[in-house]
Amino acid sequence: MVTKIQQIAQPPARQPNDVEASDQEFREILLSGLMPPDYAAMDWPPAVLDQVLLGTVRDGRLRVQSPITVKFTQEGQNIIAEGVEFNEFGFGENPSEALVDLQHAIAELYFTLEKEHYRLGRDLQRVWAKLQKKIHKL
Amino acid sequence: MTTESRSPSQIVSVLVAALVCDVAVVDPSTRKKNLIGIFDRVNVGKFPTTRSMSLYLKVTDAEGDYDTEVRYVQVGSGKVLAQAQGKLHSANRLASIDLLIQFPPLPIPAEGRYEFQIRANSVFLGATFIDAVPRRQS
Repeated sequence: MVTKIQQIAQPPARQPNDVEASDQEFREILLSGLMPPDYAAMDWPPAVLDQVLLGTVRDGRLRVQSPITVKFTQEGQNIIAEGVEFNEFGFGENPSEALVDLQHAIAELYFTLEKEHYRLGRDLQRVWAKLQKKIHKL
Repeated sequence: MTTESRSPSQIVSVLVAALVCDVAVVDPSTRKKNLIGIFDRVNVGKFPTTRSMSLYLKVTDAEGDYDTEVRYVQVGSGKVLAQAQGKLHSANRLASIDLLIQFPPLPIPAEGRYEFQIRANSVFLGATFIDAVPRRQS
């Protein structure tokens, strides 16, 4: 069942200096997955999460310029999030934990390679080049 | 009549804030947003249950059009329990966009963590969470 609900009312007519208001055009919100009254007790189908485009590494010093491809795999009870371009991994009991672990790992990798960039081997030079392309230091 | 189709922005925006609250209202005269009862923990007498929530989002460094999606996910199982979708447009990267999403009662099937995951043009920008815990009997 899909329920459409009204988004916040649009601001009044655009004022010349009202930049913030004029930039908002969130038109409508669709809510799906809202089930009958007993839906809280329903058996929800498992969500298949195999890939995410990551737009943040949870570090205020780093800004993702281009999305980082993350693939998820399950190994026993654990989830592995793989930063495909960097061959970096994050682990957790669920995808959210694994993603946060990977975000920290990528940020750590960035600063480590930045510090050691003058003496990197060929493989790590390639990783460093990709990191610089994907991530910008503020 | 012409139909204007705009391609999704390639610029990865930055999620500045994501807050869950009881009630979110827009002051009709000033357009200011008011958040009442910000929380990240729900005390539940009996699972499963449902609860109404509002989500406040603020995004910056955005330019162009964004298909925005908010997924309400049970972290432990990875199940997507609800989803909101909409469109955002920003003309100025230096400005910010903020919006309120007033969800109808959302399911809380069991104890644990629930995330609101925010994506713009399929890129994961970040998440905020609530923890559902059993209410202590006095």
